[in-house]
Amino acid sequence: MHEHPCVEVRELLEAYYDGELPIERRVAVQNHLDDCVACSLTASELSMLGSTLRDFALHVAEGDTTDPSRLSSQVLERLRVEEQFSMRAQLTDWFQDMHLVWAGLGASVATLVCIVGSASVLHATSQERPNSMARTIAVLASPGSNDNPLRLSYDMSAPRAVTDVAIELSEEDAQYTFSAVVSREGRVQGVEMINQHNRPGVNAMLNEVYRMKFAPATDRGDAVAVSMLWLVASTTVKGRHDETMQALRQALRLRTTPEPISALPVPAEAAEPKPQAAPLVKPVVPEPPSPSSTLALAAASL
Amino acid sequence: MKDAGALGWVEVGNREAALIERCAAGEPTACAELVAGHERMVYQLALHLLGDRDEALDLSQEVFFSVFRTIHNFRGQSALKTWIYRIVINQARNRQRWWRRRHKADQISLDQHVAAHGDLRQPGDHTAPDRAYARKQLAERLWAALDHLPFDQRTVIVLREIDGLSYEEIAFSLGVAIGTVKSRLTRARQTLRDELREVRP
Repeated sequence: MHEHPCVEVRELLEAYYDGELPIERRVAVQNHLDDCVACSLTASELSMLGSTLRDFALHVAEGDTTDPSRLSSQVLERLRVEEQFSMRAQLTDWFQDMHLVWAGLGASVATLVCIVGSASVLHATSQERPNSMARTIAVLASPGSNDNPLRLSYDMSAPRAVTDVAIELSEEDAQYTFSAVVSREGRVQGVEMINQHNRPGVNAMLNEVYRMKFAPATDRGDAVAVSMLWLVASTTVKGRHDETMQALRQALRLRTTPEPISALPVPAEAAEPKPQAAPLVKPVVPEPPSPSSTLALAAASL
Repeated sequence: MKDAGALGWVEVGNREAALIERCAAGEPTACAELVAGHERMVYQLALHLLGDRDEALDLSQEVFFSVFRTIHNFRGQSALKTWIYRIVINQARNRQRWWRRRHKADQISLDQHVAAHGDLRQPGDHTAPDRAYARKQLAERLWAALDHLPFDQRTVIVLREIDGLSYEEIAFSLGVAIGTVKSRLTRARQTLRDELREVRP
């Protein structure tokens, strides 16, 4: 007679009562409740529970003298005020608990003191006094600086070009003097024309000089930076003497393989006229080069 | 299982959508309209969940603040009513944790309530006094039992029986699955029915 056994209906009873069952199951449960006394009793218990709760809620609401309609004005007023004073309110909030403010201030000050302290300590250590022992040792340990210049001596060897560079000069006769520094790494730095020439090709020549790689100058085996003074002369030679040609070749070879100053060959027969491109190598120490002193030295060598 | 939050703007009436947009734009008349339309509902639910009038009123105010602060995030994922319910429940849950511990003694019991506002009977109810007494006793027991239910179970039964929300709406308001709503409802009803049986053997 029952389409659903009671157990199954009991499980669906709550959903039935709450109106959450699909229509066909609702009909099936309804049919069962019409026939089954026990199940309909449970169902009436459910409905009794609900109605009692609703009755009581209604009763409480009726007896409640609280009028929530003043909520509206209160909420709107507070919203308005909040918008106006939100910044101030926030600030007040932050400073409401002074304990936190003091703690925060203290922490900030402590951090600041730490930063200033460590910075000053670092600053003090980085500043080396010029007359201190450490400074003197450091200067002595690295000869060849401005503070510890090296004297020209026979133990010194001039830088040697390790790359071959062809320098194109103009057809006209010309003489160029320029100074440069050959660093400990064998790089050419600070090339500077001493007699200002605005002839075409000068810049190209200087660029070529920059590209040259040297074996650095050495003093008793230690690489040192040296200031160099180069004299480049371009002279047109007319003649057919083999000796002249030989001298020319020698001079051209010298141009890219400079010899130490002590062994600088000056071929007597090619002295006049002579295409001289032999770099006057002069390991002068002060770095950067001071044109006046190097010029004087170059003049002395010449 | 049905997803409780899968409704769109379509579900929310056009009038309501317009009201929400005006509120989000900060229009005072719209805000007033929204509060007026929902204040009783919010207050009643807060009262049923917390059991204290002043507290319920205070909570209602907080709820509307929260509503106006977050209304620009409302995307019609539910009816506005359900969305507000959700806010009420979240705030009540946070509040009742400490409220219950500190102010339990100040709460109005049913006896006090009846003493202040007369006997418990429905409007137009002229049944015999003994019947009325039985009803009063029943309601008192039931309300006390409701008060002792865990917050989640109490919320579910209040939303279902007093506010008449569907399972889906309750699920959204609580942020739980519909299956959870059903099981909480069953447990709450079981406890309350046991109380009923004791009064009416």
